[in-house]
Amino acid sequence: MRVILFAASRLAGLAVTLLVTSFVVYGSLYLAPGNPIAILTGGRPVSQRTITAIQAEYGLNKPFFISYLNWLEKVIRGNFGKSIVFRENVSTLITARVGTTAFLVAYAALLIIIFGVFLGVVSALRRGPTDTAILAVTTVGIATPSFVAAIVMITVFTLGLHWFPAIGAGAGFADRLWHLTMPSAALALAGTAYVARLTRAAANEELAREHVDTARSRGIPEPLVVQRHVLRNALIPVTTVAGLTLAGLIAGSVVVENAFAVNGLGSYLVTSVEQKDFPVVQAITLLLVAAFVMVNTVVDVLYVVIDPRVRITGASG
Amino acid sequence: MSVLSLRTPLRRMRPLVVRRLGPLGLACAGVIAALAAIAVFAPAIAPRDPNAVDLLHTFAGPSLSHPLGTDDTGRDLLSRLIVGSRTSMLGPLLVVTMSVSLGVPLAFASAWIKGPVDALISRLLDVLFGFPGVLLAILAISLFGAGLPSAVVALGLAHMPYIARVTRAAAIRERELPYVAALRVHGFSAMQICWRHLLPNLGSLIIAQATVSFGYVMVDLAAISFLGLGVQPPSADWGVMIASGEPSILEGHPQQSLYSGILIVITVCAFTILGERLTDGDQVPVVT
Repeated sequence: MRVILFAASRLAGLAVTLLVTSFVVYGSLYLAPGNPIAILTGGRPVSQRTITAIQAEYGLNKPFFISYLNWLEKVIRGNFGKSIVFRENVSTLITARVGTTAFLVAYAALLIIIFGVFLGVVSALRRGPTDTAILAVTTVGIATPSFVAAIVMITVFTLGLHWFPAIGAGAGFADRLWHLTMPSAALALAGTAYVARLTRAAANEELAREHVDTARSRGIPEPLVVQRHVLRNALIPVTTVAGLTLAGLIAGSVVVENAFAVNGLGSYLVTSVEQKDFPVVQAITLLLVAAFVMVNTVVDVLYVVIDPRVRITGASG
Repeated sequence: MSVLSLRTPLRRMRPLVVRRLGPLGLACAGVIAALAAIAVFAPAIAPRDPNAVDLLHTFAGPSLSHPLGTDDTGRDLLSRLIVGSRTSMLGPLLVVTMSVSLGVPLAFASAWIKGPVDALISRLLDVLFGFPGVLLAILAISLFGAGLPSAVVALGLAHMPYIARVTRAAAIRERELPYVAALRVHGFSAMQICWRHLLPNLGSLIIAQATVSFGYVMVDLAAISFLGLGVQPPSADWGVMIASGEPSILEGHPQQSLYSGILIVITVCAFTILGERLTDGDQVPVVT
């Protein structure tokens, strides 16, 4: 029951955040210097007919709040207006690129979970030089921005070893997997290091607990002790933070896509900023933030479901 | 007033701080001090004009006149890296200053007034948390134009909740301590107590969080410059240099991108490790 209440309150919070986000994204149009028409057309000379069309589309001749509601209603229906550069529906342009970004983020998430947990467990179980080495590598890993990882990988694996292509997203599943391996690895690096550090800390904490000593003294073989008594408990806190790290990948993809010239939402966002195609900028920002906030909420709720011990307090920590 | 001077004398704090930092933390502090000195005195230190083009010596290898070689237009890489430290370090400094000067008063107000004000501020922080900094910056840049100012203001807002949350939690604990009640009984106003006593007592915590934030802000700002939306070429900036060196990597000249990338990693490492040490040994920093 409490879990359901908690989930409901989190969903309400999600709705509020999404509303505020949409308000910021729409309202920013009025915040900028110059009138909204100039922003929406990117300062291009356009015919009176286009201006009237944009005014009608955005309801610019109506009061601010009403035009916001009109816009919001359209957005909820998936209508983000027309791109000024391509004169096409923004939603069509975006749908063509969502798949690539989703693939990239999912691939990176997988890498983070596999390598992050693995490195963390190894680090906790093998004290001494192995642990120190992993600790050093993860410290540098956390501090390495994705675009720096990108240029190092391009230098080593494309220029030096000719293993992976440096640009493009590929076509078809296998080709795409091959093309997106370096971008995903670059995107996943900092998160992997972070999850490894957390797993290590959590596993160390469990290893020092009495129930682990008890299990050992009962003669349970060490691998089973680690599997059943250490890992299971240690992975609970890791799940939450890993989830939050995964949400962060959504914003991170913008940078990585540009570093590897991957034609996804992120590189389209930057191109649109450069081309002053504001409806597209609005749509992609809104979409990415919405995805980010939703993943965060799902992780929050999941945490309570996984671990019944978590005392549910108010929404804010 | 002198009777109630409850601040710990600064001199007594110093050895404690040094001990907590340990050799690694001290080394990081040293690296940061050196980088700051380089940034401040960059024009004096740089051996050559960072923008002097020399098309006869493009992609030159290391030599006495160009210790790190030259870039695709023959500009001296070492000089560009040295001068580039200025915007690369100044940007995060401005962002962190902005987040602290917005976040700390908000946190104090939240912790002191409690009730609906606290609830409202906490909600506001939650919503801001929901907005990834880089995306907010890109949105701001699309409206106000590319450049450091839009990016700094947007990131300052986006990183403010991290400072505010940590400070609020600590301020709530601090204000329940007996000395605060004593000060109130003596008739000191809320402003006086917050400014003169809470702020100094929570100062080390705020500085620690700001130090960690500096590292992550630097990554965000460099990312924005890397995307071509922040500092504009031909200005020397580490993020810009990574981007402008990228096309020549596949031609076999990764130096420009690699050197500036390594500098960013070293700087961010120094700030995050120092921040961690300042907080309390084993804590993992908050990744943004």
